[in-house]
Amino acid sequence: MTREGRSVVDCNTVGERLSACLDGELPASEAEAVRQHLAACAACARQYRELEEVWQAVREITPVGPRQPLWPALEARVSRRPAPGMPLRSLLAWRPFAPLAGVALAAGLWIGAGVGKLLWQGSAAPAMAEPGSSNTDSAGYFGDIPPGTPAARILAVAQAPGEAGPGGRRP
Amino acid sequence: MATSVSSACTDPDARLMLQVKEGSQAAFEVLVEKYQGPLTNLIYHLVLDRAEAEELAQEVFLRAYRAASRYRAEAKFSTWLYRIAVNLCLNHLKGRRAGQRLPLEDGFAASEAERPDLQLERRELARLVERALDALPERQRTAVVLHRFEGLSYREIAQAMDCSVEAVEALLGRAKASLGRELARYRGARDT
Repeated sequence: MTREGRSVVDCNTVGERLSACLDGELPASEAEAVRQHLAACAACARQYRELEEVWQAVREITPVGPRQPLWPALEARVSRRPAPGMPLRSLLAWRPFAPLAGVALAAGLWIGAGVGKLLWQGSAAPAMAEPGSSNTDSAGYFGDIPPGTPAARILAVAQAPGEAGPGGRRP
Repeated sequence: MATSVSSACTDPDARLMLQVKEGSQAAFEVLVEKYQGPLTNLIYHLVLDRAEAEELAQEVFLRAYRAASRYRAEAKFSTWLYRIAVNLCLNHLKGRRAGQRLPLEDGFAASEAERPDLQLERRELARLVERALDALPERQRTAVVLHRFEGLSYREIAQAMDCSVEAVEALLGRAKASLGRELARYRGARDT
């Protein structure tokens, strides 16, 4: 028997449905059938009133709340970690990361430029590795990278002023 | 994602939680302030210890915050939050040894038998029913608190407790019957 299709005719069936009827959870037709039964059956009507009284008494119970607001302690805990769905830009600006964000970005670019140079030396310019080449002379470690290569573009970004990242501001 | 859009449009708390998902701590603070009372109350009636309830309420909020990236507003925010709470509390209670469960301070019928002529006032009745409520099995208690305190429908309780609507109806029916019996015992003791 489904909730919608049940026929409400006898005291046992009504007794099973009284609770849901009291909570307004019965389909309209079934609730009407229960009401009709209650009008004609003193025993079920008394049972219904008792349930009503119990339910009313439960509602009278004083709720128990926290003695202190929870947010101050929670704030400290959630501030130690970003929300898992936080986008990258917000993540970099997140308070514990903020002072380090610019430094980390610059360091990453510098390392990337170094790796790029090594790759470029190993494949595109074997002559640069010969003895007497100018790899380590006074022109600087990256001074001999030909313009237009990927390594040169990475180096240009790394050495450009004012490109060190979001600067640690919170959004 | 029609349900997701629908919940986010109709439930302001779901919209706040979507902001939390985008990284807003301010939105989360609003949710904590709104739900700390109901959540602590729910947990208190499950674990029957106020300090423990406060600690667990914090843990629930923390789990909700950590789960923000997976939040999809498919149901009301409150239902989602209560589901986290119910799961946490029921697991917490499983971890307790049987002997650790906090006993009722005194027997319902025995205490009333000592005061047979006491007039039944609503406040006192509520206090007595509260004791009877706290003596109910955990799942019945959970359903009662979610329904009577938080106003959740049977369908929402089913979502929060991960069970069917019919199971919720049965839990609440049994809970009312138990509470009704306690009430009858009280009246019997009072009227003798």
